Amino acid sequence: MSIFKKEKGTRNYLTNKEIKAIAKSNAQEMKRLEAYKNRKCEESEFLTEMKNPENILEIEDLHTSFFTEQGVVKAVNGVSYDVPKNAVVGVVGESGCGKSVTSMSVMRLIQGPTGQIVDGSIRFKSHEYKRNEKGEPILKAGSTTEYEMVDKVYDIAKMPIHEIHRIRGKQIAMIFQEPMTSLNPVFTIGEQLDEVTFFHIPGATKEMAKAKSEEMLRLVGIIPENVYGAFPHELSGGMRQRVMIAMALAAEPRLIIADEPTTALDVTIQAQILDLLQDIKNKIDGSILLITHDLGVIAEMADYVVVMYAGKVIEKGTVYEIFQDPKHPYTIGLQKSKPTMNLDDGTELYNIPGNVPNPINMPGYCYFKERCAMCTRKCSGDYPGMVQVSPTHFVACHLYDEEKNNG
Amino acid sequence: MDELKNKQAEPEVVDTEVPLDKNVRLMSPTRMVVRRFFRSKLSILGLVMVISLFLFSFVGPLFFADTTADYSDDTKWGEIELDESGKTEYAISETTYTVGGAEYTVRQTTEKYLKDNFLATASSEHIMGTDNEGYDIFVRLMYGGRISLTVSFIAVFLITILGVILGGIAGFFGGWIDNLIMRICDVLMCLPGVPILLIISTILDASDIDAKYRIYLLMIYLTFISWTGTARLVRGQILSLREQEYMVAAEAMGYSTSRKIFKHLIPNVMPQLIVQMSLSLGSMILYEATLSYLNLGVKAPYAAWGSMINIISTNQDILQNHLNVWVPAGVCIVIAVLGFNFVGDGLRDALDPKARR
Amino acid sequence: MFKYIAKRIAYSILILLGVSMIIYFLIRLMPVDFIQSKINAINQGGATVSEETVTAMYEMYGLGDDSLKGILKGYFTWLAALARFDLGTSFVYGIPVAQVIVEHMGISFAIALIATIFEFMIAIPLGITAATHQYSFRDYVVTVLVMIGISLPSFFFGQMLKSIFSLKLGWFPVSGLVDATASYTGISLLIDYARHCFIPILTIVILSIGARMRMTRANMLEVLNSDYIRTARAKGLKEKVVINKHAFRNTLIPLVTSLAGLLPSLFSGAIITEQVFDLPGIGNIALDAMNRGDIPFIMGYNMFLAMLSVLGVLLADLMYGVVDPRVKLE
Repeated sequence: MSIFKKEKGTRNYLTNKEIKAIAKSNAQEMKRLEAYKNRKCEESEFLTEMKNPENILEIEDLHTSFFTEQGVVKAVNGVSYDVPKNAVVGVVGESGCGKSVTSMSVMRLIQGPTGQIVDGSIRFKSHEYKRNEKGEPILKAGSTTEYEMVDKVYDIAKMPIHEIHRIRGKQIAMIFQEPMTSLNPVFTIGEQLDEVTFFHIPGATKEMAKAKSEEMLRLVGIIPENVYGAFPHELSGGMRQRVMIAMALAAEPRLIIADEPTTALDVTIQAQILDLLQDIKNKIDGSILLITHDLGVIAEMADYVVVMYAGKVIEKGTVYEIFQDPKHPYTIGLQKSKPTMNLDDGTELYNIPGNVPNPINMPGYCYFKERCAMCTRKCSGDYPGMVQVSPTHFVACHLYDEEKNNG
Repeated sequence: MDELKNKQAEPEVVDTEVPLDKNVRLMSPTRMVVRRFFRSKLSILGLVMVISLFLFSFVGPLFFADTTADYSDDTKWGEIELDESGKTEYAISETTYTVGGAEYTVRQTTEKYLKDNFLATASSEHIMGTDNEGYDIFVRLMYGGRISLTVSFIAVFLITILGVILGGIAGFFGGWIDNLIMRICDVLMCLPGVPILLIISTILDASDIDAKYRIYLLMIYLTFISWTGTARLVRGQILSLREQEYMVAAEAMGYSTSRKIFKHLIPNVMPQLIVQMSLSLGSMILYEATLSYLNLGVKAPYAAWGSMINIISTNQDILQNHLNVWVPAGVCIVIAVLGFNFVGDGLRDALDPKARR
Repeated sequence: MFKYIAKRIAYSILILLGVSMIIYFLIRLMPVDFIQSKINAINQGGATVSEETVTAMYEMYGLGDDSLKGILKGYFTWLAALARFDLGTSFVYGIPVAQVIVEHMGISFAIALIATIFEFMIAIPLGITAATHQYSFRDYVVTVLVMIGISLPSFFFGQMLKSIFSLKLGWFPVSGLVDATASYTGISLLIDYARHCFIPILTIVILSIGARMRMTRANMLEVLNSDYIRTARAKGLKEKVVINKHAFRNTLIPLVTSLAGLLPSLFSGAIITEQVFDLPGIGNIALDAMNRGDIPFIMGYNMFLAMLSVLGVLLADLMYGVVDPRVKLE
């Protein structure tokens, strides 16, 4: 057939043989990982210890891939970062750099069977009810409402999927990007909020759940009477995002993941929601993992910053280090491309040349090489390793290799 | 598999001239569709079913049927050639007499010679036997397939043309024209399908149409009330595409109206149209078969799959004892409809850009 | 709300006017001598079509006057009669068409209702499991069942079942609604009905189940890919709750509306199935009337069907406003 002949000359298309090989290996891998995800196992298999007890979440060498017809997309390719207790960690990067996929992996919300956590560990310190053999929570001696608590460290990446409800909602809550579609249209706000309490607080009654939901609504600045019985479509985008935040807070989680919580909102509403998050950060006893592509948001909110590029962490440090002393050429570029008011000397706004590489068939050398203005000969070699430039500041760039040797 | 892993670890071309965002070799769009289609075993099965029925109906008669005009070929049978080799039917009758309190039964065998060799069992002469009239079932199956497939193709073709034109006009011009066409659609959608065809069939009865062309006329009438689905599809697509950025861009570039349609809209409607066509082929075959079964479509002596089954609605003996008369025709209908539906479903999955796998 | 309903009813009447025009002009396409020959055939067949009935019909449709004025006059005379629910007098039965329809509607409705209940009861759970286990063996089986369901011709499948279960195995009566050789009453009469209707209902259920399963599956897949399901999962709800509560309630919306839309059409009768099993339902009666040229009945029956489908669309729309909180009927 003519269509096939035409393709032979073009190098940008896969050959039939390659397509078949991809499909075959994908099918095998997906089957294996899906079986691993659905396996039944003892709790001890996914219990572990934190490397640093000050952290609440430790992501180490996480690999999350999507098995597509065109090849394996390594959306998250060896990402490691920590979230300390009571801190706000901001993750920045261009769209498609894997920052959202990382957070989805933490929640185990990656859509199978194409999307799978392939390797790595996600250690999370959970503070949960002590349970007896039947799985019922144990009451504190002499109390009818207070329960015995216990700290456990789970490796979320190794947890079977049917155990994940131990973590989701109660220990880690998530706020999504699209408030318009993230609420179930057929249930009232109240029903959806109450559900969280019902599910996570043992022995919760209707009245308790309602009281809790109303408290949470007040916390996010909503008058509960107006909203509790309303359906999601009756609220504005900003209101819905507030409801989402209230929902995330309802079970008093220790970690809140906010995945671009303001991107889909109007600028004025964005500011309100950020203020709210800031406010909540001070009120709750927990950490926030804030994912955004907006450097301004990060500067305002975060204590620590992780910069991601093409599925890898390229630089991480405290917010001061990243903003005052960026090391990686990409981070430097990002800083320069931020529009500012006092740029009145007529200089054009800087932009990083080129595009984000396609995540299939990544090369062995630095992914940023082609767009990099400070490229050296070394850059054609291996992918650069993480270099520590200060106790808290790490960068993955060959420019700093020597510093490592010296210090 | 090892090979593949190596390939992914170190790409064969470490060519700095090729930027990283371009170095990936993707699947060409046509190949992606072809691959997605053939990945489903059901699509392949459907394709095989449809192709073999086509071969059976259109090529089969050249080998297995008497294609001469006056049925002069004595080794094969034609579509409306009766097997007049005759057959002897035996009937046993019993008569009971009571003579002086004693009963006597007289059993009498009558031998009746009939001209037509009807309801013959399968033999080397008649591969599937003959029907209640004495026609060769196998040969009529092939001719029935010709009628069913041809008629459905014509009907679907006409429906698509009518639907695209009317839907296109409605979607493109909007305003009162759109309103008028869509109201006509609403009315036609409320028309009862089979009962209306019952009326139309009576009209055809009244106007003395040749039995051979009757079904074609019926299907043409059918197209007049069946274009609404296609029209709505096309109109909906055009309306949604008009909102797309690239249409606004095309407008800004000052492209003419017809250019806009042909360059942008038609290719976008095409995939859905192809799916719709293959699915409605199945339903048209079903329609034709139902009409023929009700004796409204193809009429005797011509063969159609539906009319070959018709006999069992009045003759219980055939229904129970002569499965070779009606089951093959039913199986053919099922294969045809199932085949087109499998292909249509496979195409829908293959052409759906949102498909995940 | 009332304004909306009033508007919709007015619109439905407009559609019925369009339908009536098409049906009327189709009848006018029939030559008058053909109609006369059909009447003669009915007379020979035993029934007597009274002279009155025939003249009443000629008058009602304005037959015989082929001028434009005559046609228009005939149409409006017929329309006026329709508005009074006067559908004319049946040739074959010698009683008003409306009466024939009402008398035979019950049995069709009973069969269709039972079949629809079974259809929904079987198709919805199967459609949902197919969607929640997409690409699994279960999904594959359901897909094949769907395809077979929508591809089988009802007359062939019905005859097959009849040949196997009634003739070969002798488990069920071959045709009709009651056993003519026995006179049952009470419970045993009901059992006799059930025995006669079992295979027809089975036929209808198997043939209609496919489309319903496909609809449920497609719907459920769409719902499962939505953001609010992700939210429900992120809340920590167990997968069972996510599917049976959050996803199911959303899948139900189109299913319930389609059920409301189906309701009127349950009265219309399954022409082919009733013919195959020789049940005295409205569909079989209509087919018989058609074959014998009972023109008043055919006209009346077609208008009846059109009314049912218009009513169905209206009901489905209203139902949508009831089950989907996002939809406000305005």
